[in-house]
Amino acid sequence: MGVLTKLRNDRSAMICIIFLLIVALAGIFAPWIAPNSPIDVNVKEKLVGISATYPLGTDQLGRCILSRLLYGIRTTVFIACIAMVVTIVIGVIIGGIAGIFRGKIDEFIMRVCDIFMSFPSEVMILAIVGVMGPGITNIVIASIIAKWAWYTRMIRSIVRKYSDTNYIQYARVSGFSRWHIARKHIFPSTAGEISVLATLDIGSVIIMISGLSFLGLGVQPPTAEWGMMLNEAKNVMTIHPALMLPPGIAILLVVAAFNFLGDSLQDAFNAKHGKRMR
Amino acid sequence: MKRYLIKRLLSIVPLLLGISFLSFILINLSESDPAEVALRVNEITPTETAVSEMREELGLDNPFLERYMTWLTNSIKGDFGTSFINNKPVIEEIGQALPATLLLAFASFLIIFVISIGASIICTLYEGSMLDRGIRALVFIGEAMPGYWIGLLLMWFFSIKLDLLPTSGMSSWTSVILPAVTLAFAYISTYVRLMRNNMVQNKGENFVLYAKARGLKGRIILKRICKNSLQSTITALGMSIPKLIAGTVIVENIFAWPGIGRLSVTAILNYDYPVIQAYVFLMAVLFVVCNLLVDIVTASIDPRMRKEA
Amino acid sequence: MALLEVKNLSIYDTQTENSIIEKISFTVERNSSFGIVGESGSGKSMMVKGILGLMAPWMNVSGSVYFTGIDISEMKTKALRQVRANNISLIMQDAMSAFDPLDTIGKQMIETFSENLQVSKKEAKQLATSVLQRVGIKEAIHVLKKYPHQLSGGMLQRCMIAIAVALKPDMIIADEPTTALDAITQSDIIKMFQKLQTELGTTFIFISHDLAMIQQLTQEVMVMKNGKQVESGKTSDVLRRPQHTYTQYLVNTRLTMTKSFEKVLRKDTDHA
Repeated sequence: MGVLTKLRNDRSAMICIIFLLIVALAGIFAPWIAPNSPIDVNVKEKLVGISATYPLGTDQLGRCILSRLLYGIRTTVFIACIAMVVTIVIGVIIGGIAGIFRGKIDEFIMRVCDIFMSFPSEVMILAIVGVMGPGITNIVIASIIAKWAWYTRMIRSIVRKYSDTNYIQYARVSGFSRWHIARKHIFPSTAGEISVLATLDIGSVIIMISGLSFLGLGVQPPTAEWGMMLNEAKNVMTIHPALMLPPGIAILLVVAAFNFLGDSLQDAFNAKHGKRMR
Repeated sequence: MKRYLIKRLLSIVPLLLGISFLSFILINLSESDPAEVALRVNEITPTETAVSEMREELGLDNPFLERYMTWLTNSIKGDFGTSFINNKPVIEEIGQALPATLLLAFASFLIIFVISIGASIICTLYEGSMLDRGIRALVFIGEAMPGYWIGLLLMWFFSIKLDLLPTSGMSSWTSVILPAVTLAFAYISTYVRLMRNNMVQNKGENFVLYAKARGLKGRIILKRICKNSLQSTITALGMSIPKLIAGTVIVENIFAWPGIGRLSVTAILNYDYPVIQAYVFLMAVLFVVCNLLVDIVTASIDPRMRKEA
Repeated sequence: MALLEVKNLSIYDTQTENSIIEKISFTVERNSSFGIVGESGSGKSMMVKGILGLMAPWMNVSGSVYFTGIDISEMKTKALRQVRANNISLIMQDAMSAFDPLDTIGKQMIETFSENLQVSKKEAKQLATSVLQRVGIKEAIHVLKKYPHQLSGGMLQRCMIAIAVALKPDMIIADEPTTALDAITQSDIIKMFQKLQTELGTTFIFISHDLAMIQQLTQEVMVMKNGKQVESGKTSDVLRRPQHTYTQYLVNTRLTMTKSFEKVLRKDTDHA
């Protein structure tokens, strides 16, 4: 049974996929579906409750919370996805080179990875943001620099695992070039495992990026971002605590959906390999 | 064991050098001129002469490698320069903030340790029951909840609604509770998951079966399961210490805890490079040293490793 | 009254929805020696676990196990523990993984004895030394200080036998006690079992796929295949005149193997 069929039969995994698709579409079409502007200040109507004009009420500056949530998908979720994709591309290139060519190149890449990984990623990110200054581009770059080493290492070991399998060894003996084997065989078969890694990890990237915005180091006001919305909610916590709920729940749901999907994907892949072994 | 120790100690020397080099070039990658920043924060107009004087004072015109060597030798002596903001020695600033962070990290570690082991034992004893499934559901939700949100919710509930604990600062011993719990929260989920799976796996091992077949008490068997599971989780638990110290950044900012996490964010917002540089360097060294200690502890606990090493 | 009577014992795996063993019944008299034969995967080891109540919770066990007339399959955990501690000892299949890797053999033996025999730590240690010597370990004190990974499979097997001997149970169940061992150690262990049988007067159940061992050690035998009981009776009868085709197959394969083995031996002697 293929991974896709297995996933299709997994109801909870399908719910996660559908939910994430809806979130993605809502983010893309935010300008059309958001009831109000996410940045227009309207002090007269600050902190109002749920109403027809403001489905989730307004914040301390009278901005529509639902609209800010919808636009926040673009910053919080999409930026995390971009960071993730770039990290993986780097990881695949460098890890792939290390895994396929081995020898001295491999040795060198691994030592560099060691050094990068000896910084806790939190510190690494702070250091880079510290050097380049706060801002959204900078935290994306910081996240990539902090994570590339780990991905390089994981992808290298996955590539090595596959290139040690019999059929790849056979292809090598048959005289196919390394690039041919890498392109035709190794990358397709490693893609699954890499996607599991990415899905499992993207939640933590979302939490990290919005955490930096929460600290004021990431997205700058007035752009809507979930972590920053929480920081703003903190300031009016005593008078209007409900403001903490929408962005927090939004992060929780999206991250939970990614994590759950990652677990299901992993199960699906394990089951597949389990069968092959038996 | 001795040979292993020496080998392990030697192996971190190049790593430490690499780290110091990396943290040095990080700062030098900066787009803004440190001399200019130093002048601005002291409210001196950065005229050309002022900048060049400052550059000389900071030794910025020397060749790159020479600057690195000076910085490295000074850093080893504990001299990280002076803060651009208040002209105090950086080591003093960090020295003042570090105890608060260590206290916070230590309190968190205790919470993580007790709760993860406790919850894992419960899960293992009642594997598959509602209790086990409940804890696993909590773990799942815990992994998806951002720490800063938990911090805010806890602060609102315990400090504002119930008025039981202080919202911020470090005024009494109760101040540490909320930040420590918040910090612990994110890690507990990971460790419960890790420990539980480990214990459940160990529970099915042959030595447990044979212990049961010998009629040993459940308590003794549980002790053996715990010991074997801890053995494999100790690396992860040990590595959580530097991660906790590094992870205090957000928590310290929420609860206005006067530690190095807060110091570093303030430094970043003010472009206070010497402080940032020192923070990054010290954290990385701490990480490497903890890593080393954990490896040694793991090796000395496991008789199999002891022999091979 | 028989020492052990198993009636219609079935085990069903609710996770994989597979039947492990089906309606197994047999009786073991006191002071006798009973053999259970079958290829690996025939459910022998599972059955032993089922008898001792060592099954994983998702395994559904039905049927009854009467030990001295009492149904132990209905017992509560605590009472069952007493049976395992004092009445039925198990010698496990894989000696290499049977002990806690993080503790010395001595500690694990002493713990077992002081828990089950109500003796002091010191007495337990003396007991451990003497039983180890009894099973043919000369440097017993030395062995007690070793960690499991520092001992060979045969050594650990002897340690398990020593524990069983020390506990003086009514019955010892040995599950494939020689499978993981080399040929020489195998014959040593078999000789030791023979010695113990005459010395101790304990009832034995031997589980094996090795017909030679069963032949040497048991009086009665039961043959299992795919979780079902195919034949049982006196060991000599069953091995000499197997009724069921499966038993015939087992006996024949073994005979051909021994024959070719003997041929090789003869060749060697011819050359020499």
